[in-house]
Parts: sequence; structure tokens; C-alpha cells
Amino acid sequence: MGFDAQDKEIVRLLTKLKDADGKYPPDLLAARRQGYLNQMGQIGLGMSVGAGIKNAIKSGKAPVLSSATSTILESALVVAIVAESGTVAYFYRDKLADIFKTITKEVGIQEVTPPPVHSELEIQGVTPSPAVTATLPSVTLSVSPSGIELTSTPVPGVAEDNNTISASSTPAPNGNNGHHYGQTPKPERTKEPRNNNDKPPKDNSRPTKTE
Amino acid sequence: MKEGVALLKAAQKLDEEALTAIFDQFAPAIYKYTLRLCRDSIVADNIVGDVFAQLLEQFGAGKGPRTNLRSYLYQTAYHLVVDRSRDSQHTAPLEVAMGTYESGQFAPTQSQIEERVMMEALISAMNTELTEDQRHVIILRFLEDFSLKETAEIIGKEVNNIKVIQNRGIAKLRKAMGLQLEEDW
Repeated sequence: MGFDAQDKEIVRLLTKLKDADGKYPPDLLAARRQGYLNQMGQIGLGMSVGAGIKNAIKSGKAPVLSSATSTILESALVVAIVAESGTVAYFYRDKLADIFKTITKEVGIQEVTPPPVHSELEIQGVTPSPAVTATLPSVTLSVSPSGIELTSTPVPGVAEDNNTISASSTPAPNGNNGHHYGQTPKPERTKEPRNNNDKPPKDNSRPTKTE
Repeated sequence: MKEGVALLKAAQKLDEEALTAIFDQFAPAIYKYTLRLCRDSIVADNIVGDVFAQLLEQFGAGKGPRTNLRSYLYQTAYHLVVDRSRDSQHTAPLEVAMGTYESGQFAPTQSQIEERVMMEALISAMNTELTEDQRHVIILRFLEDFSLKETAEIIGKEVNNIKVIQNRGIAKLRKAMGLQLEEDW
């Protein structure tokens, strides 16, 4: 690096300043050196312990111990494990009981309720008729000139001895089987309940008084 | 240089002999450099202790310098000085570092008197006229004989930037000394 004449003079003075003696005071230097050596010893000790552990891990061999020491260590380890597991089991006893119950529980038949199936009829509000149909005995009314004969068909499975009811009536004239006055069967009248409010409309046409 | 590399490698393995040799070799120089920067002998001594404590910690952690141990030590010292100067603005005259400059001199000649005046003017200018960066660069370059590259590494700046700082510092010193010399004479 090139300097001009004046700068060279400055550089020369600076380099002379370099030789100026700023010596380390011997007492301070000695104390500092001693502290440095102490620190070096501490780090070296730590490093040696670390290196020993590292070597043990690398070689895969545990340091050689006497049999009594190893026995004591083993028993202490077992006691510690047992105590720790007991403590954990005490604290989590409820959860452990639940787990045990779920494991030992037998497989049972579960009742499954199928979801309701909505048919079109139900949707429309119409209930379907029951599938079971009952066969009712049919009654046949036959009018003959000799009389009225009621014939009923027997119900299967029901024993009936006398299926025919015979009634004598006046003979029909000319063999006409039509309904004549007084011969038509009266319709069965259903009795309305007393609380029925649906009264039939009043007949405004009063019967005319016959004088 | 090979000896330095071998010393460094031995120190990385925490060889006590190598570590002691490093302390003996560099502690006085670091002390002098730190004293020039912080201008306090007690602070300089503490910084020397911190520098070598950090070095041991780095070696213990498997880290530390790989190539240039000297630059590394000066760099650590520089950072510690900067940290301390931020904490306390304590300043002492640079003459502390030059305390023994006059020792052993009696009956000085005319040239010696002239040079002494020049040196005092230079020290004064370094203390008052230069910025911190300029003073650090001047010290590292001309009082500690570091190269531009090493100085850049220690201060943490580019080489070109160091060149600029150095030239501006020298220009300031030249100007200040010229003015002072004119005032004196």
C-alpha cells in the first residue's frame, strides 16, 4: 500500500509507538495464568469423565463392578421399579379397573333396534291393514217357498254340528223371490253411544196433526 | 506457521502443554492491545482473563478457531472491549499504555525531544480526533501488524472498508498533528 511522504511519517511514528512498552504487570500476569491453569484443569477433568462415558458407550461394556455391588444395585433397582409401579397403579386404579373390566367382559348378544322404515302408506297417514286375515263364517240366506233357509259355511278348524238353520215362512207366491212387505229382513240397528253429540239434524217437518 | 497449526491442533485436544504455551505466547500481546483500546490496566487484565476463558470453553465444546488463532484471540478481545465500552464510558488516556515510554531516558538529545513531542502529538490525536473504528484499525494495522484481511476479520468488515477507514484515520492524524505542531511551534 503506497503512502505519500507525510503519511509515511505518520506510519513511522505509529510503528515506533508499537515498540512502546505496555508490559503486563508480572503480578497480574501470574495471577491470571494461575486462574487459566485452574480452569484448564476443570475442563480437562470434565472432558476426561465425558470421554470415559463415551468410550464405555462405544465399547458397549459396562464398567467392571464387584458381584456384591452389582447385586445391591440390582436389588435396589427392582425395589425402585416395584415401588414406582405400585404408586402409579394406586394413582390410576380407577382407569386400570375400567380397562380390566373391558378386557374380561364376555361378548354378549346385542339387541339392535332397526331404524323405522317409513312406507308410502305411513307417510300418507294410512295405516296398512294387518297381514293376518281371519276367515269368518259366511251366512247364506236363501228364501225358498218352503221357508227361509240359513246356511253357514263352517269355519275351518271349528267343528259345528248343525250348520243349517231352518225356518218356516209363508210360501212365496209365484216363486218370486223378491222382497215383499214384511218379509225384508230388518237391518241391524247400531246403538249410538249416549255421549254422542252428533245429534241428527232435527226434522223441522212436524207431523201434521190428524184431526 | 506449521508450529502454530500444530499448537492449535494440540490445544483443540485440550493438551495442557499446548494450552499453556498459547497463554504464554499471546496473553501479553492481548493485554497490550486491550490496554490501547480501553486504556485501563485492570479492565485490560480482566479482558485477557475473559479471552482465554472463552478460548477454553470453545475448545471444551469442540469448537474454537481452526486456522488463525492470533486473529481469533484479538477478535474476541475486540468484541469484549466493545461490549465493555458500551456498558461504561470509562476512558483513560492512551498514555497509560505508553507509561514506560519515557523510562530510562535521561539527557535526551534534540532529535529525541522532537520525536517525543511528535509521539505525544500522535497519541493525543489518536485519543481525540479518530473515531472508534479508525482507532481500532490503526492499532491493529500499525501497532499489532495485522494484515488488511486479518483486520477485516477481527473487526468484521470488508477489506475495502478497512482500507477506507485506515486512509481516513491517517489523514486525520496527519492533519491533527500538523495543526498541533504548528500551534506548538
